[in-house]
Amino acid sequence: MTVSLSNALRKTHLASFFRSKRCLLQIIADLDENNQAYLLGFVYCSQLREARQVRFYVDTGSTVTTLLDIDVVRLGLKWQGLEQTKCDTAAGVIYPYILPRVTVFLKNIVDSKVILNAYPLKTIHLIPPEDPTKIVPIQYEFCFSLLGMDVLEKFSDLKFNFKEKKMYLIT
Amino acid sequence: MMKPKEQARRKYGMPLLVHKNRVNPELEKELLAKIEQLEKEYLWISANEKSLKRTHLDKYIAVKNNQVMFESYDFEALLKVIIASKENVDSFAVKRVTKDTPCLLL
Repeated sequence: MTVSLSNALRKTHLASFFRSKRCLLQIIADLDENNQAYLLGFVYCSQLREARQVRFYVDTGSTVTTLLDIDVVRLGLKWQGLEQTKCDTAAGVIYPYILPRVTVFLKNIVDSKVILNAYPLKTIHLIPPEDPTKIVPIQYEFCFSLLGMDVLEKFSDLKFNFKEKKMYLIT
Repeated sequence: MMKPKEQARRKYGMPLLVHKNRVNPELEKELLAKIEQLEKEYLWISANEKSLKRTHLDKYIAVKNNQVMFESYDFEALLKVIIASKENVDSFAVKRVTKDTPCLLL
């Protein structure tokens, strides 16, 4: 796996960028049909018995990493009793719940070696389904969550390669 | 005699950090393998978007081993079916198949 990754990197013109900058390539995210970047990671907090898989969209417009309705339900997170905060969004003001002490795990590539890095965060936000008591099935719109600036700010550079459908987060 | 931290990890499945940002190597290997598998599933969904729209339009699909294993118009029903089948929910790539490319405002 490491070898094939190195070979793939050697073929890209981004490789010359990395070499010239002498930087470590950190995270490679795939681009979807809208060219929006997503990556797979894990989340762990005291409510969970083990690290759980989450699909994150890279969202520079999100200040805080946020788990959206489907992931909140899928992970079985309890939001009742958690503090709420105010957030301004393009669709208006919302009041997400604050989940404390969360660790996000992401696949990193350091010197061609694939590792799993932990990003401990003081808090993340939860946006649960609007009305979980509704009898009719709730139409969940988002099969993903948002990787916000609290994680992205740990990197120093962000590059898109639309031809290869990849996004690179670099330290 | 196991160390207390190792005992806790085995008991609670905790992702034990061995250093500030580094994960226990055994767990790291396991989680990386899961990510690799899921990455393949999501790429398969992207590659087969057209045929999925023909067969599973407006449904939530759970994909594993390049196959749609479960499907439902209702996400919670899908979740219940996966749990009832005693499969690991996290081992599936879940996506809602929509007619148009979803337009997101994040």
